[in-house]
Formats: sequence, C-alpha cells, structure tokens
Amino acid sequence: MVLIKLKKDTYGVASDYLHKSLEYIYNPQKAKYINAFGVAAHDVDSTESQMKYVKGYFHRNADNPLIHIIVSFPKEIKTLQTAIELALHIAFYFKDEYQVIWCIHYKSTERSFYHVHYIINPVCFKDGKLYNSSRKNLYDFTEYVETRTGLKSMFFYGSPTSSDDL
Amino acid sequence: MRAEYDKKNKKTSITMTEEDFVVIERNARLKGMRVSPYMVQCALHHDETLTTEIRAKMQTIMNYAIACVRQYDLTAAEYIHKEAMKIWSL
Repeated sequence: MVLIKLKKDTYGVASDYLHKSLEYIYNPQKAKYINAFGVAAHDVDSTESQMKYVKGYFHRNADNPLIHIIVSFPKEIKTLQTAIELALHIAFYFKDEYQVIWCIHYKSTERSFYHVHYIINPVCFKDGKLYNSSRKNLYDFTEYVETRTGLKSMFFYGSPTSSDDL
Repeated sequence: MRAEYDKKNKKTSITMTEEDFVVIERNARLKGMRVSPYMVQCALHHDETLTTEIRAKMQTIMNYAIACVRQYDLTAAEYIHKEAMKIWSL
C-alpha cells in the first residue's frame, strides 16, 4: 500500500520554514533524485526565490509557506528507477497549477524502501488561489495516486512534530 | 491570518460602461478569478511580458532540458539553468 502523509506545517511568515524544508530536499546525503515542476530543481536559493516570486505576485507572502506531502511506496517498489517514474506520475497532479519540487529518499523499513517528499507552493501560479488541503481534496489526490500507480493508497495527516519519514 | 502588508483593506469605486464591465467580468471568469482581484492583477502587472503561469511552465521545460543535457555536459546544464533564472526577472 502507498501511504500518503500530509505534514501540517503552519509556521507563519516570520519563519524560515520554506528555506529549511528546501535544504532538507536538497540534502545530498539523503536525496537519491530531485525534480520539479514550475520551479528550479537546481539549488535552494533558486527554488526559494521562484516560489517567493509567485507568492509576492499574488500578495500571498503571509500564508502557509508550503505544503509538505510524503508518499511512501510499498516494498514491491524495489528500484530507484521505478520510484522515479511513480514520483513523476504523482507530481503531474500539481503540474498545471502549483510549483512542486520533490526528492526521493531510500530508507529500508519493514514496509518500504523508497519514499518521496513533495514540497508544494500552496499559491497557484495561475490565479493565486491557495491549495486547500482538506480531507476531500486529499481523498481526490489519493484516488489519483491509486490510478497512476496501480497501487492501493491511503492518506493521513501528520503533526508538525511528526517524523519526516513514514 | 494575513500580515499587514498582505491585507486588502483599501476600497475604491470606479466607473465604466456596462459593455466594458461585461468584458472584464468574462475575462475574470475565464481566469477563474473574481472581478476585483482580476482588475488589481491586470493593473499591477500590465507591463510584465510574462505571467507567473508562463514563467512556471517555461521553468518546467528548462528543468527537462537541464536533466537531458546534464548527463553529457555539466557546463551546458549550468548555462541553461542561468538562462532559466532570467525568466523570473524579465
């Protein structure tokens, strides 16, 4: 089963939470692969400046700085190449409206080898609307993940202090 | 909660013909926006050649180009990245 965890991060405008999260994404010790839609996948500063550009354009600087979704693949997904393909298919969900960057981590647990961290700019680059991470929307996302991966999926909310892995 | 600098607390009224309003309302609807934010966005960014949507979509294409080139030529990949960054300052 694919597990989808939404980390509830609302650290406010004064926080450097976006910067810290992007540093985590770019951590060369952890990231096996990095890619992005709508934003640079080159380094922290490039990604951060482009996300802030969209926020500033729509006067959304003070809203939730990011959405952090962790998708953990089951042990059937054994190779990095398969994880890369599935992660890309999942990211297509956000491609036409939101900037999203993702990285793949390898961590061998009793139920998974690979998991993906998605950092999403909650401000839509088309009209400035905020992504609503309601139960209904996450259910839709989960259904999409099931369709694209062909694997049973479920989502749950993680607390801000919960682990970065599943 | 919005910070002071993000608060939309200024109100004004404007005059226009019925015909203009119909056009503006339709354009706003086509962008999935309400009339007020649509007019503000058009007025503030009228001299910008690229919308955020176009910049973001161009960046996606650049990312793809960088990924293709990187395996053969790192210098070329860096060059594409630098050029892509310029999209955000046009």
